Amino acid sequence: MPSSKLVRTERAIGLFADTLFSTHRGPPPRERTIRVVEDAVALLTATTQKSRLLFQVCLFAMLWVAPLFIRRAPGLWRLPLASRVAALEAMERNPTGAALVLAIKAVLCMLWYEQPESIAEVGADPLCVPGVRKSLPVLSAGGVL
Amino acid sequence: MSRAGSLIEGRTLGGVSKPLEIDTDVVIVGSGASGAVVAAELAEAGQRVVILEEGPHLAPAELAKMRPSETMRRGWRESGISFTVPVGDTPAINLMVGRCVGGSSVMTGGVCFRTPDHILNGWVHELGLSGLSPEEMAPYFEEVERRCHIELVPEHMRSRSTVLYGQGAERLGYSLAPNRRNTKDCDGCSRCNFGCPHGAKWSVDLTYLPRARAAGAELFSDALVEQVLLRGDQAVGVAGRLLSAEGKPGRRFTVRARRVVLACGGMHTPRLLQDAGIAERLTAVGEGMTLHPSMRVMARFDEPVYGWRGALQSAHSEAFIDERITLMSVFVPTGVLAATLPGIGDSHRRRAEMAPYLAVFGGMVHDDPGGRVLSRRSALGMLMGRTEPVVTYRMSLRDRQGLCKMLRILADTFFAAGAREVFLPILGGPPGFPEGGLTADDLRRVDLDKIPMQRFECASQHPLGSARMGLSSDDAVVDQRGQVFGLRELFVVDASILPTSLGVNPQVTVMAMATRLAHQLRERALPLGM
Repeated sequence: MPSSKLVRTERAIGLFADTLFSTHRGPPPRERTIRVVEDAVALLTATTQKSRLLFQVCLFAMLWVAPLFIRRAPGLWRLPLASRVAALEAMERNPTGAALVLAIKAVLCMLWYEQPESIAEVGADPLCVPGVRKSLPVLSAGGVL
Repeated sequence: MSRAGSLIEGRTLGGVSKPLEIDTDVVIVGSGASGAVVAAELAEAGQRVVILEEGPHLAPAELAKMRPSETMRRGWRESGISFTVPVGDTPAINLMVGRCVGGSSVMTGGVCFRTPDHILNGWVHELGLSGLSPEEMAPYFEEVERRCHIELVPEHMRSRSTVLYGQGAERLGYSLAPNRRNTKDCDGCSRCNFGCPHGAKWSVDLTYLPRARAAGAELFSDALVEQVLLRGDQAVGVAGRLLSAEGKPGRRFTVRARRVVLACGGMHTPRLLQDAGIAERLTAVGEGMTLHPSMRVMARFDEPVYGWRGALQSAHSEAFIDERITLMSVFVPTGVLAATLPGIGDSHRRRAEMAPYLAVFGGMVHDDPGGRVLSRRSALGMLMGRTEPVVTYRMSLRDRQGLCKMLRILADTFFAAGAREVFLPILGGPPGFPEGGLTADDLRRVDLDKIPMQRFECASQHPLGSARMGLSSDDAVVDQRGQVFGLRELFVVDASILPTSLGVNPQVTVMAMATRLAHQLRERALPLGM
């Protein structure tokens, strides 16, 4: 896992990603979770303190309260994978809970499905094949046109 | 003949303690759709122009190497994770605004509408503004359209998602019209709002800013303006900090200018005016913002749709314009589709595998002015708005009803096109349908008007009208020439001056208004001395 000032946040994102992207065979490949966590931390580092705090509040609130939706004690990290999935599914069916889950899920899904293996698994294409091929004047730093 | 100006990346000027000091004729804060226009016009008129842009410079070659999330991180304000604070029965609205050289013009779908005639006529006849009738504005629209290569999106570039929606619309008795966009040689790869990787979208970083530079304008990126400098009742410059590659404020700068032009958009222009103490005298500063709240509906078909193949925004419908609704084709990345469908673990995977079968269509309402940019001195502003402004928004009853009506139109149209089920943007699904998907029969049983608006997902890319133009300082911030009431040589030219919302994408309106104001500014003598 990457090291940063957001260690607890990284762990929490990793736990959620492992649960969200798990299958009946278990959690996703570790290296893919690591990539998502790194990208999420990069996004959080780049945003403002206000938005970072909003994300963290949603993340930690979700991890604390999700087990309550399946009548278990708070703290999602204490549960085995199958129970974590059940707790988050139940939370997502609740209008208030859904807002917290979606706030985190939107960011992680965006990052997850940027990974070529992930997008291929669901039968979708990546967004276009980049490459500049136009002849408009392009600004370049320092020089003149 | 003037010397070509430079693009100077502020991040390369750090590491020096001595403040950067610049003297110029005109300083323009913001390099987006309005700032770029004014910069080009004034520089070509022979004025010395400095443009200050808070965000980085992202050239098409660089955008081409970036994943969408990297573009969000570097080119969108608050990395795209920015929400309004809802007041009353209102959704929290995701506000997405560009923060880079070229501003939001780099991050739009490129949709170009002229200001509707009824809006312009309302500004003239109801608000008493002069020179803004459709006939008087026509030359400015024509100039912008020519310079930005605004063209119709051909039908063959429509995605299957849009084609299906269009078939449903025809069956219900209305039709889609092709969008106009500022593109050339676009081949429709559906990622315009993450910056065109091909340079096919003629955003202002590829059109007006090169013109401005060719005429001698100096453009600084990574330059955060924190303060408008005033001497008595006259603006004499701006001050701020250069930002590092990580966005950290560093070396201070001061630009002394004979004229100051604010073009930093509907959120930051009022913030600068508030910080200058102007809001105490002009109570309309930061008030009356409109957003064009938008929503989308997803629909699952039996056949593969591959909705990301084709132009991102190729068609629209004004069939419901009398009800203040504009429908607009759109698509979103697979990750966003997957996120908004319910499911965790295996159920998430099953839903994500539906992505190739999903069509998407959206729309926005021509909203009442319910937004407010909070002053840094307000309680919430102090708590949450130290770096970025806090925007509150109270949605009017008719806008709530309009959005619900719009969702039903979108869903009914998809069913008419043969969709199996639709997914409305409601957190936790509509009451009684926690799995989210609704058949046509299910939809009839859902009373959307009874669902609290806090449960709806809503987005906006159009913060407008927070420093609006008017006849009097009692209810407006700038006069008809864009000058802030009671202050000499301080002008506002961006989306914040629009007197009302438009009901259509505002880029061309903003650029045409800026062209008009720039023509007035270049004829107006600069004050002597500084």
